[in-house]
Amino acid sequence: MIATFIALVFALLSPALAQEKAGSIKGTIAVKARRANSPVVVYIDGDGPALESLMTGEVAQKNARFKPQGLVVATGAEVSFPNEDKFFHNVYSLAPGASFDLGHYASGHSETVIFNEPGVVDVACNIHADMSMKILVLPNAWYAEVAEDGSFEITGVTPGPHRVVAWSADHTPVIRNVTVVDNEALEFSARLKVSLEYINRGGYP
Amino acid sequence: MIALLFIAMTALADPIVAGSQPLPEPSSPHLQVRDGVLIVFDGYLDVGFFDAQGDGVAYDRASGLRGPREAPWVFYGDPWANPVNSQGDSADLGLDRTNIDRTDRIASGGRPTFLLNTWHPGIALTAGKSLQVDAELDFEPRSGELGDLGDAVSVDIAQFDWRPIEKSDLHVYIGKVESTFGIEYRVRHAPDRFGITPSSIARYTTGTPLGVKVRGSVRQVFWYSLAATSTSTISERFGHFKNESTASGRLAVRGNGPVRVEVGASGAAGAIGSRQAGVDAQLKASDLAIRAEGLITDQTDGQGDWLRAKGGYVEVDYHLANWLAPLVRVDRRDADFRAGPNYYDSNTLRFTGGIRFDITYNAIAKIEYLFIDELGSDLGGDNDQVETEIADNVFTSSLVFRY
Repeated sequence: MIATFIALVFALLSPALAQEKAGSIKGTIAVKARRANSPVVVYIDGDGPALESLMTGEVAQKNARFKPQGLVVATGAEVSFPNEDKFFHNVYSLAPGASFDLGHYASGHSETVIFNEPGVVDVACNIHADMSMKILVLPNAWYAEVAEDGSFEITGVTPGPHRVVAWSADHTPVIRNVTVVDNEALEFSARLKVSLEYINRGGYP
Repeated sequence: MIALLFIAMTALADPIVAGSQPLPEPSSPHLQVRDGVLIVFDGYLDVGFFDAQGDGVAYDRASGLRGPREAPWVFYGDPWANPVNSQGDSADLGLDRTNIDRTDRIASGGRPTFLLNTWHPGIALTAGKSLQVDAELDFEPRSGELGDLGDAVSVDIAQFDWRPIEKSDLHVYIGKVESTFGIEYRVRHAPDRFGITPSSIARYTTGTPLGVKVRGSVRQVFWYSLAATSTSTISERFGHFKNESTASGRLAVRGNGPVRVEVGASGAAGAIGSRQAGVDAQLKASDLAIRAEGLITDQTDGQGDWLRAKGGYVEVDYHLANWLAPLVRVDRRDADFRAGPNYYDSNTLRFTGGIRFDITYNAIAKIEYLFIDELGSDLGGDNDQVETEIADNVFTSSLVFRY
């Protein structure tokens, strides 16, 4: 009888016990000169639950541009790079830990790269000096895409100290250390300014 | 069979894992001297074949044409209207009809001719992120005549390229630098030029002057390029106008949308009194490129010789496929040129049609045909009755290997 009672109480309480403590981060990101089809995300850097979506991506070379010029994928994602122009392109990156070089390839061909290391990957073409784009490889599932009105919310975040990053391919990222508290929504707002970062590829002399 | 094998190879190609390969290196031969110091050896080889109409000369001594009293020798046409390669060399300069010693490196005499247009080796030394030293040469083997071997070695570019601010696209160039005038200088080398031959105004805009140049942008939309040089951007070798200290520059606006439009204006002023102004525009959309330039120039050597010219061109390039790309260009140039006792009266309209074949990224074949129409003399008076058409059309071809 006692054993049955204990089992019943344990069964009733177990969902609550099993539920991990969690908080959330939400706020508004003001983005200056935001471009269509260029994602803006807020994510937590470091360890976290694995992201199971965003496992594929595509970066076309069209009209002597990378399209899109910003891409967000999960760690382990496969990204294809089809050449949709009718002339040669090259795709390479010198990103630490994520470098690659796909060589020169013609119209209609495609190459695929797997990104196993989280971080930002600068991608360029060594034929066309003004072609560049960035890929953000997310480290975990704690991320949110920023809506058109600037709002976002990351839920299910383990309480404790975290490094939060607001990122866009066209802007200088904003990075802050925060502490997430159980059952509370942490306010995080930032303003992204257009990046003045130029890679030494020069363009025309 | 080969196609099936290619498809199979493509299908079986494994994805590349980022970071699993060695760091990408220049595709050209190179030498890593030490950390941060890299020497790259690149360049191209350009061989060609051409066939020019008539005796290969694009101007004539117009015996019936009466010029200014102080210039007893009057010539009609444009000596460089019939270029056969990317350097703009004429099929034949017709020196037997002039009274001034000059060098004619091709002198085809109207015969079909094979030519090693140039071997253009380059060396670039990069030290860190802010400094690069570039040198590019041209080796032009020629047959020569009358005791002249004909062969030529020239320094095309020899410059320091310094980026004083890391997070900026400001460049400072010192040495023998690229032009600041117009847009054609960007494509003056054979692998970069869509077709083979330069426009009829390239002789005023694509020369590489000696001096200092700065180039940069405001948010990659507004572009500026300014230079103070001891020589000008003129490369034509019939006059001495290039040897003049010159201030030059170009301002441009470039849109970075799907259809990229760039519009610019250039100007140059020399210490002796030469002046040049031009406008340019180009549009790139998908596989189509349209570029146009126009200029007016008034050159003097300070010793009595002068050149007054205006002209321009429109060129349309289109990639039908990766390996097949036609082009058409229309050129117009109206020039009067006084050199000693010689007076050149040039007034030409030129149509160029061509096809480019990108065999691989490193091997390119091109063919072109130039229709040259002399439009008549603008000397006036009885000169209007003089027959002025010259048989000077040209077929030319080029095979370019870059490394």
